Amino acid sequence: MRAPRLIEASLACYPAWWRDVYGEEIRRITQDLAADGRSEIRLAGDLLRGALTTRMRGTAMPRRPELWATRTRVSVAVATLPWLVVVPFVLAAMTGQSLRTISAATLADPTTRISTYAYEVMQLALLVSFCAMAAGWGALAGGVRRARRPRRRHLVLLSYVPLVSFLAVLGLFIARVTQLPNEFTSHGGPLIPLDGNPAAAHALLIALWLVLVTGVLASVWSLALVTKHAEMPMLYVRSGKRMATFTALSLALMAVSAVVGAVAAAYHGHPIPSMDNFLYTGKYIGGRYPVELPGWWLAAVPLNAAAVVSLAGWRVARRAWVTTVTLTGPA
Amino acid sequence: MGNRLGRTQDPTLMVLTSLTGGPKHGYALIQDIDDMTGITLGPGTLYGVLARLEEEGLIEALPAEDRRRPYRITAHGAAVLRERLEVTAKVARIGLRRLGAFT
Repeated sequence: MRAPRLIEASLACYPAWWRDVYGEEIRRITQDLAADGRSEIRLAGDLLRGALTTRMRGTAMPRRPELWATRTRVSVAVATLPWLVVVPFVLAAMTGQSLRTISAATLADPTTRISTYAYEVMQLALLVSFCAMAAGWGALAGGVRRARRPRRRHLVLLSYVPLVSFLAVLGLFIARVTQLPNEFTSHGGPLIPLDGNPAAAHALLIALWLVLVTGVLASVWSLALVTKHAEMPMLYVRSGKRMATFTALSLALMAVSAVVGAVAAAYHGHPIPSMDNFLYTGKYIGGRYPVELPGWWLAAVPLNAAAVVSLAGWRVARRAWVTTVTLTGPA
Repeated sequence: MGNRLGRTQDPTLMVLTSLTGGPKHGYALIQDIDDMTGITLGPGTLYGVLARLEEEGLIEALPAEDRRRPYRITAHGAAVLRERLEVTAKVARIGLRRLGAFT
């Protein structure tokens, strides 16, 4: 007999091996409890919490090597995929700034220095994690090509979705840069571009963001499928575990930096300069891109959520890896 | 106050104690623990505990009857429970004595 839909949805959150052992009992017990007048929502909530705990701890998981290898791969995906999801927010926060003049008093304020350091740490961590993700993707693609799975070709094609998305975004970015004005004139008023095509640059910016968001979603979906189903050699799983370490720590660092920057900006009460820039208007003039307060929070909130998920995935991946190696021998 | 203390109770101890009264399936365990302590365990919490106790060899599952699988405590489980209850009883005795002096 099928349990109500909410209970079934909560049960679906448990791992398959767990449902095989306890699924029928749980369905029966929830029917009995519902007949006693227990709220279905509360029962489903308790099952959801139980499912999360079971997935985190792997309690009573059969000691079968293939199950533990899958657990390691899925945990690596949980540790790394939040990075992909959060990148558009970070890029929006870091690039959505306007050039403006900053007063000397603002520059002298200690919070300016704090937020500048926070911004630079964020940039560095983003770069490190990007390199880790690129290296990890290379290892994943190699692992999928050597996987034992019968539908290997299908998975190999899916593993290339992030690369295709990245190249599309890069292409649009370069196309936009070629359309951006480089020279301006100013007769005491606003800057007037002398070259480039601002309208085309704007259209390309919209296209870039559309492709970025679509590419991120498609990459998360394809990588989640590939990591779960491709039974790749252990050597490649170990690379994935290392990548998970880099990604989780970088995300945590970025999350802390974003909060520090946001608090500094809130304390200061007005935008804080974080990036020097120079524009050419017949002669070089100095300018600064201040990161507005909403920009900091736009990065801080998703980054913290992503860091929590990523660190949890990393923790599970480390433990699952130890058990996998115990069961299968060293990679 | 009762609910707040209920959250700090160890469901492992409750399940093991309930099983000392004889083998029980999940629903009977929830009812018995409710009668004993006034705390209602949810199915997710209960089966998390049952899975862990079974993995540690403290309880074992018996053949299922009508999609209900009874569980019974093992000898090892009984020994572990006895040890834990003795510590708990000692803490309770000392606590109550000191509370008497306090009031």
